[in-house]
Amino acid sequence: MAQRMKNLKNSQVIPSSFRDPSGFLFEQGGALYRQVNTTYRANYDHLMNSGLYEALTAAGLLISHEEVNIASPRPASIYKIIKPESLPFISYPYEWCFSQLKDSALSTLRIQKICLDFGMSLKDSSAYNIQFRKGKPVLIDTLSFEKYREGQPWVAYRQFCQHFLAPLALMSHKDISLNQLFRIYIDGVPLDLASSLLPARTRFSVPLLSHIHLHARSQKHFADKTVNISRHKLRRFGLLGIIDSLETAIRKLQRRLHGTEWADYYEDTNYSLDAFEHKKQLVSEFLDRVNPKTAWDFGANVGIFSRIASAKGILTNSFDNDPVAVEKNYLECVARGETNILPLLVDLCNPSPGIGWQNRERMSLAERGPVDAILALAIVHHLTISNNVPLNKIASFLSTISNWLIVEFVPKSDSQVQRLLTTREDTFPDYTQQAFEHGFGELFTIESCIRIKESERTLYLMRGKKG
Amino acid sequence: MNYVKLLMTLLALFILFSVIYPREVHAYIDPGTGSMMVQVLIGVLVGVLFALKMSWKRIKTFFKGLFSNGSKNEKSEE
Repeated sequence: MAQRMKNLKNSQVIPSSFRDPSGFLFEQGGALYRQVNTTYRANYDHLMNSGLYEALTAAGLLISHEEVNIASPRPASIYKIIKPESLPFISYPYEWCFSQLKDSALSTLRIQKICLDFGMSLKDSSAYNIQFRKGKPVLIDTLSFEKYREGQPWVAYRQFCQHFLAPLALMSHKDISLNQLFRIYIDGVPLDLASSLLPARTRFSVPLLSHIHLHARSQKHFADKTVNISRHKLRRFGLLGIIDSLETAIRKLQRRLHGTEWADYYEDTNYSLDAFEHKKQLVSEFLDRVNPKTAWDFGANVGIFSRIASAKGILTNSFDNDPVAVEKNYLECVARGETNILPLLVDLCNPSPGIGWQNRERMSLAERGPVDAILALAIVHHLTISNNVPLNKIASFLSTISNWLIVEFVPKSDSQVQRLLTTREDTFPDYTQQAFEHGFGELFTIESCIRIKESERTLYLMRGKKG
Repeated sequence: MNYVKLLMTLLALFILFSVIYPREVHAYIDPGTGSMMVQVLIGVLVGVLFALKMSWKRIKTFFKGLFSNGSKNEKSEE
């Protein structure tokens, strides 16, 4: 009993896990568990016994789990407790590039098709049910399945259109940044909004006309009407047809990439070949000294330096605020089958906040830390010069999420900084190497400081003072 | 006595009512009904198109098989 009470005290239900009556996530002893409630018993058993679980996990589409025997924080409703495979990092659709969202959409549809072969169907198709595991999208909600009933329309269809088709169509036909709408609308992009934002030519595409424009009109039309739903049926072939139509629509959507300021960064820098190689070598040496298990690379661009870390087996998040750079990074990740690197869209000056109910359903970026090491290469000058963030504030933020820092100081004399200063007044008298060392020196100890060959830049290895 | 009879009659009517009255969905506030209806609406058409697409694939595969056999025969004659 005492042990049980101790376990319960350490059990914490995850704040975002409350909408699903079938079960919930909780943390105990530092590990994540999922309770399967008695209401979900029949569906869970069917999932496990019909062969669907094996089919999906073998295809790498569903996260695997094991059944465990531990105390539950809500024993009244318990059927089973499962322990899903843990993931190193949780990311959200507003942090994904176009192709990450597209691949997640296609995986969801593939899962739904396989489900139907085993007499089941997805009861939700939220983008938040997909996470990236070893470079590929995977469904993490094991309780997302229900037995298929012939004649019933797909209950997850609306969510699929709002979480996948609408944002992808907007990113493809209007603007690549429109997945940021996920931060405002907690259940994907509302279809009436998508319909009004999409250009008129999308009405000539039969799938977009049906699943977005007509769908939005239908929602509006039936919003205040009562309908006898049992009289209206969707046969299995109709459902398969709809899934096929959605898949065709998604496959046809192409990323809308114009040259952004960062897309061709590496063709346009002032590193000589030797300087670049020296920098890579230094980063590699510093990483060997720190020997981190995880690393975050801020301002990673297409991930050249992130890959130095991931090649060493370090689980690396490759952050950049340019959607085209993240897209290129992800496409390379897919082409090479890389498993240690996760490219994500993050603006360091405005990182993802906590959103949803009580602002706790989706975690802020800092809450998903801390991380073993941070790479901040060729980024501090952007924060200071372009964004007016003082050096000590940058140091203070970085110190809250990591103990080790590999950071590059780019002086005013550098041609890239000169370029930044051509369009603004030089109100940065304190932007000097001395000020940099002083600003960071309050919270970090400078373990190493090496000038990059043939350049004006210096690479630092710093260790957090508190520990 | 009359009250009991009245109550029983009301109860019986209520049960009868719930059983025979069709299940209704109130879509007020909840956009679910619109999404169900649009599926039903397009379901028939896309279902037929999907069936045709699957059949067409089978027809194509069948003819491919025929022609490749034909060309094999030509080759062997040369």
